[in-house]
Amino acid sequence: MSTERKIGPKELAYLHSYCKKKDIVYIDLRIELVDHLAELIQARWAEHPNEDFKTAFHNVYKSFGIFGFLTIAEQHQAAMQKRYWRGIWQFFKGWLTPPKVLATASIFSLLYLLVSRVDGANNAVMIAAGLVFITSIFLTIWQYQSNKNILHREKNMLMGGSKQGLFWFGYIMWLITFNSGPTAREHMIELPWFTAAFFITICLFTAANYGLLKKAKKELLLLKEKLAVSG
Amino acid sequence: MSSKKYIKGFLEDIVLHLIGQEGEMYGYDLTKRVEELSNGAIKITEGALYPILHKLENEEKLTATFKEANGRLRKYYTLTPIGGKKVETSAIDLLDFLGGLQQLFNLQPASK
Repeated sequence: MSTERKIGPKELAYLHSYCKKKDIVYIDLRIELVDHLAELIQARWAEHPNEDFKTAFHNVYKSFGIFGFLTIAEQHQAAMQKRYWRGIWQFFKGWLTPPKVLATASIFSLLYLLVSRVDGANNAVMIAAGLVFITSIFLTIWQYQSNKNILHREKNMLMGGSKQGLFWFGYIMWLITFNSGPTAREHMIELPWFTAAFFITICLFTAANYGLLKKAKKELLLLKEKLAVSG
Repeated sequence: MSSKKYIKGFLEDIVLHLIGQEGEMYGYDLTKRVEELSNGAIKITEGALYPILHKLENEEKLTATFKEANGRLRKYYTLTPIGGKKVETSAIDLLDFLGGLQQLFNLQPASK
């Protein structure tokens, strides 16, 4: 009969809360590290069966080196960003189908004609692009909060990526339109093709970002279902 | 033997190769298998392993799924077709490289 000591629910809860305190904020990474720590502790118990949980835990945590989880957390942030931008890239790549390209080209032509022939249309389209971006911010915040309600305020990697990605996208758009030097700015904004492309890019990015948050929701729901099964 | 200075460039290949062989693996399992198969000569630290696993997952060379194990969730990795191709090419590259090293250091296979 096996007398192996196993990690129980209370100990698992302790490991989760410890990892959270050490900046492992995303549930998907935390589950993985908690499992790793639990396995290390159980392996230690096999050699030191009388050691209490906390002593065993602190002994195995030493194996993560002087920086503990810091390296993993930092590199996870980088991986999270890459995953996010890959998702955005895939959305744009998926957009390259004949009907979608045709629709986009038609909208672009319409905006181009509007901006180049109607006085004041340029400003109107730029303001509309700004409004779409503000909507995108609210949509992200709303979907982000709604996702957090799925699993006890937990967030996953893709959610973190969406929030940071939206910030970076907004920053790049800001640099292009308002911070590119007075001459360049006036020149850019005056160009009808720029205004049309700017509007379309913001609309597509809003859709891509929202799509990724929806994907994050699906992943969280799946995780919730599996957590319920594992108890 | 200290493997740290040699292992960095091979870590991705080791991880992909092992997962390809075992079919499905999780983080702790990988560290143990590498140590076992190399008779303790190669040790992978957690700080090196997880960033590599997440990178390979991002690059779609690995796919991951959460499953219940011992009353908790565990993340299992499996090889994708892209990862499978990488395993094939890296085996050839590795053989070439090892052959080159053997020539360079004038190494002889250990006699039994």
